[in-house]
Amino acid sequence: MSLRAPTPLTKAEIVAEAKRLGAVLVGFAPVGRWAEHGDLSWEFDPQRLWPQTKTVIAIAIPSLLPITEATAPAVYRSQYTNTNQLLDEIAYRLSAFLNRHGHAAFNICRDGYGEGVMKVRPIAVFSHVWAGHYAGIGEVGWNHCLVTREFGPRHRLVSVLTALELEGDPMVEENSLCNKCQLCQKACPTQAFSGNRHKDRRSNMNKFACFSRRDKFKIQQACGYCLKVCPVGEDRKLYQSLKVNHYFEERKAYFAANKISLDPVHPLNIET
Amino acid sequence: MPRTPLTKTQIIAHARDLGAESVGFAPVSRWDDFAGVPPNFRPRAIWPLAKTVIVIAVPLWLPIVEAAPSQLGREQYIITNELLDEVSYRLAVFLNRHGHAAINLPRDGQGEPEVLAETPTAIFSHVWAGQLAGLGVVGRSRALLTKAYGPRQRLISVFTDLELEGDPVLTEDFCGDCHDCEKICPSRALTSQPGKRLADFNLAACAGEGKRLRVAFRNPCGFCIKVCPVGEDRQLFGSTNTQKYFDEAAALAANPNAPEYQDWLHIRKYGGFPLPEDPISIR
Repeated sequence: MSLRAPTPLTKAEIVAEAKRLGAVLVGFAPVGRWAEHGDLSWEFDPQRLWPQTKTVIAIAIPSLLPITEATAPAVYRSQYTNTNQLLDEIAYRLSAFLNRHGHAAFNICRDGYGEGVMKVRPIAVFSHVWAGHYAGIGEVGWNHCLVTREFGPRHRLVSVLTALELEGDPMVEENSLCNKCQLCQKACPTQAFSGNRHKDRRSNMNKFACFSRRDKFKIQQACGYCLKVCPVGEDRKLYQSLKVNHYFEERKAYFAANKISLDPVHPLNIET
Repeated sequence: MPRTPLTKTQIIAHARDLGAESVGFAPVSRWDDFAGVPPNFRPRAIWPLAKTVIVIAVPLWLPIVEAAPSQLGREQYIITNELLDEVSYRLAVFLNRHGHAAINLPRDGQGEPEVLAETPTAIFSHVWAGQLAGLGVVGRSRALLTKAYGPRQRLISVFTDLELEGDPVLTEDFCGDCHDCEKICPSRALTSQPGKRLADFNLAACAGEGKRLRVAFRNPCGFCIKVCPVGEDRQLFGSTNTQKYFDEAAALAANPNAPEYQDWLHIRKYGGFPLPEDPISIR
């Protein structure tokens, strides 16, 4: 086994390899976009992580809407675990592909936390969401998720950093996907989002509120209300699930049937 | 199931398609008089049908290895473990489908670090198998050193009853006399004896450090593999100055914001719990 001298690779070849490995959406972000747009502090610039970074390759695979909207713990958890593992494998193997062609590259794992660490320091080493934003896969929406044309926010992300210079993909025009309808904010069982849609580009997010639900219901780790409720995404049409109001009616019906007052922290589907 | 002929080229192509980076072949007879592996840990003792051992390697990325201990490093360990198990299992199935009996050996023969303390030996040594299959040579730190990635790779083996020609065992010993792995080990697990090529390995000390880091979700340690000057990956990733690892503690003591270490400090800071000795000190 010996490493080769750099062999030219085109974006089309990299995309083809990523898709062969399981990627669905692939975008390229020149590293300069982090400083140019200034959404994140320098600490979260890819070059802080690895000074040789020239391009970030963002990769997304979908979370399937019927599973996301059922908010059923076992299947939701299984989808989450499976997509995590697939993402890591795609990104690792795409890095191997680039290294094999003489272009230094490595993958950043899709989920940057040990168990319980989120409660202490709820910041990951690298933001795949912003990488997806700068790579033109989607735009960061009101709910702080990357909203894509194909799947709305119903997908998961991973990134590969490489020293290979590649042309960036065009970024999504601001507010062309997320129009700040704020349904995510209304549906959130923990009221994690707040803000003024006329003044703010996106909501303020209380991450601790978001995790509180996870802690409260331990094994039943299925939330994703801010994902399922988002009206954006071609997947809504594919799965014939266009009426997002349905989720709100379900909530009212559930509370009425169980004669309980509207407690936003109470999960809709908890088995009692 | 009828036996369908399979060539080494076909097996390599399939293994690579499944995610293997490099593949080597060793006839089981190579273990017969090999002092490195005790008789009851040789392929035929484990599985009498075995004729050939296929050894598979996947690399570890230097920028992650050298930032250890970090949660990102732990995730890299998990990703490569899962990939190795999948590649070797699926390669065994591929051989079986063609009528050649095959089994994959687990890439990590122990449970938690506690098991290591009681039974400090895995069922089979992929490291020695890697040397006998011509992938590299076992170095002072007892890791397999390859030309491409030094000791920065992980290994797994598939046993098959298919007879295949062995790859040439490497004759060049590219583990030098630097002792850097021994010098940098935070748990002092490696000790060289005069006249011996390989260091003595104190597994309990090494496992103890692993356990300490695991509580913070920041295992494994991997200092002995980051420090090794062997490997073309050092050039690829632009990290050829291994003295930097030894200078780190003093440089950060003098200036906690020393710019040349900020990338590693950033990687260590997130995803895991802080450790009492953050940033790590070199003893």
